Amino acid sequence: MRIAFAEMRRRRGRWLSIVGAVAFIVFLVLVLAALADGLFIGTTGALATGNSDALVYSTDGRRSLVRSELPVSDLPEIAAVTGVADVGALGVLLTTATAAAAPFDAAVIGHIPGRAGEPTKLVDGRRPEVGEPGVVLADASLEDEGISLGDTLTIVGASQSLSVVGFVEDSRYLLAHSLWVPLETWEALRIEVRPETARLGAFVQAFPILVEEGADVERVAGEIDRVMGATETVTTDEAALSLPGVEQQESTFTAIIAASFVVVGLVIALFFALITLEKRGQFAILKAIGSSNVLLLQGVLFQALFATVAGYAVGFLLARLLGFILPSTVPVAFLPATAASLFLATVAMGGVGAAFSFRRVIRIDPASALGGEA
Amino acid sequence: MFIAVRDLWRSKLRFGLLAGAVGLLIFLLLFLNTLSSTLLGSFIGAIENNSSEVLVFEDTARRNLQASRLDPSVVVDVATVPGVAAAAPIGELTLTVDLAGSLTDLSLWGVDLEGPGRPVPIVEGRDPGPGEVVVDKSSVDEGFEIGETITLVPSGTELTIVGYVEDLRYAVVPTAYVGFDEWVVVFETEFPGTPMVPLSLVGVEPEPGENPADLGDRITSVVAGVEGLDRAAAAAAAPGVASISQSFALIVGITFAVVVLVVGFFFLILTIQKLRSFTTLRAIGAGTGYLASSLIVQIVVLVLLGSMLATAGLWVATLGSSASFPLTVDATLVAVVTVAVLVFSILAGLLSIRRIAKVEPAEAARGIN
Amino acid sequence: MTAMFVDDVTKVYGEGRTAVRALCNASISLRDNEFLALVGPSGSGKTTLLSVIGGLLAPTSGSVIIGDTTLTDLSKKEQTRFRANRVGFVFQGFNLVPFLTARENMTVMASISDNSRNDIEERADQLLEELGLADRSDNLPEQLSGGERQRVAIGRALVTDPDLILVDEPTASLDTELGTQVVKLLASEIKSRGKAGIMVTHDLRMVEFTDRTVKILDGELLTGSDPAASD
Repeated sequence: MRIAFAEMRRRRGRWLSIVGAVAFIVFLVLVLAALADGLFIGTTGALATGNSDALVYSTDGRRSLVRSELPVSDLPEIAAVTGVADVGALGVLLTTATAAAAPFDAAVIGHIPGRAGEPTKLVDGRRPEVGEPGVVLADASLEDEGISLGDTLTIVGASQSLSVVGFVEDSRYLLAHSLWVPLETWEALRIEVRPETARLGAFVQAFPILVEEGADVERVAGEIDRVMGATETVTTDEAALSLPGVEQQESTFTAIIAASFVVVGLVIALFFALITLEKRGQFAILKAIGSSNVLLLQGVLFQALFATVAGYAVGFLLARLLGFILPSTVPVAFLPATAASLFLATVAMGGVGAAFSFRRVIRIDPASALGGEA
Repeated sequence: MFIAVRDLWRSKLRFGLLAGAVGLLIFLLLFLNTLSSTLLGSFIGAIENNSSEVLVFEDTARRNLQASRLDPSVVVDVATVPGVAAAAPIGELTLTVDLAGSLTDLSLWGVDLEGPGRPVPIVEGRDPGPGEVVVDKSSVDEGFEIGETITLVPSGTELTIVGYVEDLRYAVVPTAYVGFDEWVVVFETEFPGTPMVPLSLVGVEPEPGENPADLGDRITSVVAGVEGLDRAAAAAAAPGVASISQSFALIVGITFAVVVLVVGFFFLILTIQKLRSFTTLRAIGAGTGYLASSLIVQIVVLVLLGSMLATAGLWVATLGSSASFPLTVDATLVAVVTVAVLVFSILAGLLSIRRIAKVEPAEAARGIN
Repeated sequence: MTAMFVDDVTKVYGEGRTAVRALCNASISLRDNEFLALVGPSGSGKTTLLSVIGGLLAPTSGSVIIGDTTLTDLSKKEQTRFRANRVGFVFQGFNLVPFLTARENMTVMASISDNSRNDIEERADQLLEELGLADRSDNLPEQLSGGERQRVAIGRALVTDPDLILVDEPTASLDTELGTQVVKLLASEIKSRGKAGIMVTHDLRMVEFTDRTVKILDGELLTGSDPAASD
């Protein structure tokens, strides 16, 4: 260990380069993952961070919020199903909204404040009251656009204006900024902006539900569909994946991240195999003066672990730094689970790479340290 | 050259490992590029590759196709703008359809089959007539094949698929193109009692020699309540696309930078290894220029070898592609990426060369340990 | 007492027509506290013999006995351990670890041998004094002169208090004055500590510091291989 450490200390330049290379590789994957996670949350946040275990759609809606239609009057029936602890309502209207200045893509989401499906991460202000007119709970990403509490928003094509009373986080829908309004407000807006839907009467697009403590979500979902007849109830996770484009996005990103993990892992492994290979002369000397193979291998492993851990730390910091300076139009999310698994993968691959060269190290002939003539 | 090649040949394993690592990184770059353009294409292919070079939106819709609703009379107004050779209505409607017993989403585009916005080129089959549609070829995976009948839900209207187009997908769902008048009928059937059937866009064909972007601006200023954009701008402005394409641009950019830096690091580390041999070479009279060019030769060989490995890897990846997610090996992409990595790697290698230049030939005689 | 005994050792490289006989039926014995000079021209096989004695090279046939241990009977692992603890090797190219200081090049033996770190460090400091390296102890090999590096190599060979010291061409890269100094130093260290040593050299002027000289030519040992005969 001492020898390994001494080598790193004295050959600082080279080891800094190694740590640097690992850092950059780690940085790459962390940023990729953060972008993927960011896009996922930006697309599905409204559902994913909503307070629900499952969503009830109409069967012909085929898990599409835009196409699903259920009469509001169905709510009490669903609430009565065994295992259902709470039922809320969801309706989504994709349109444009304006604040004082520039217009922005908006998803006006009608919900019942205080019931299942409402966004959980309130970061500022307050929630609207049930049925309270003229107010809106906006996604925190709008703060970056210069909107603050008390500002007035107008929906294009509608006469009503809305006052911002609070902000929630990670609640965007299909990357549009979400505006959460009480269900009644949503109905009124919808009729004005999409007049062709007026004939349908008071409807919602989905009923978010919460199941009772200990109940099996899948079973309750099945029960609801059995009782109601024309519904399809899916878990919130499945619902998120069914949002348009999400599955393709996710599979694309999964492919990208998987490829990156593999490439990064192999590159790191190759890297350390290469470095160990280069040290043949040094190892021959140490063997000649009586160093055992075990000692050398320990040193190699130690250096690999040290360099990968240090490289990971630097890469991690760089990635976070990038996250800070990115403009708000690029959604990023650094999830701890991703960071942790990448850490393990990096260190493991460093070890694997070092191990690749073990056989060669063992085979190094101490006699090769002898210079000069026979 | 001689030394460079001999060195390479003698340490095959070391160079093999290095080429492997570089190859993997280049592969990643190519793979990312391919995936991102495929994904983006499935979102906005219909806009980006539309046969109208200029697309006119409702101005308050803020370039959002879903929110854009135009009165049919706008087509005439747009047609009178100087520079417009032809203007035609385009309507888009996403609805549920029944295909061979199972329900699926469909993006139905109503277009002037002879004007701007018409689905071209038809890669297989023929132009649609009444009651017929052509679909984007990627939809084949979802069961949309020539000869199949699509039944709209809940109206029951039936449409037969008679041909394929390529790269004209919209919003990731299967996409079909039908004559505009039929599309209007579909809309009215889906939404009975609707006061008016709005267009989503007006497709414009510019006069020869007209710059699409400029024409778009002109249309915006002349006609009230509209915004004209060239296809590329319209595609880039589609909601969510901006975020996705920015994210991807960032991903590709960072990957590129990392690939170059890592290759540079590799060479820096290896050059330091070879200091002793370089010293000996210097002692026998090799100039810095000679050593530097040897290093560059090695970098070139390495990057080219890595690039070949990467292309092979990409080709293997394309074997896993499907009609809905087509992956192809784009020769231009490979060439551009290879050249870019090469150029920057050589620049990074120049750093190593500085190290070589500092080597004192006299040290060789002393026989440094 | 015999400190070391080489019994009929042959070393052949390669096979058939391309076979090279580096050593041919070599036998030699060394008494306790004896400093032997092994003299021969380039290519005579002296480094090969030294390597076989040190366990760095396995002979094609024959055996090597050091003290009470038959080296050639030990496994590779045991040979390495033996070398770490019981043999001190001063290489022709010094073979110092380039990223360790003079002192560290000696104390590294604490990680490698079975000696306690305290013992090694004590002896290292003492040797640094005796070898005149006290004020160079924190320098890296690249900062030391040839003679200083040579002395570090000697110190490393002695720091584990081995029974047998093997020295390969100690004067090869030094001028006459320095070379003589070094060999004198070696002799005094070996003799005063009661150790046995073999020095390979092609410089006949150095043999005056040794107890006995053995000549080697083309892999064969000539006069003086038997201590009794040459006294």
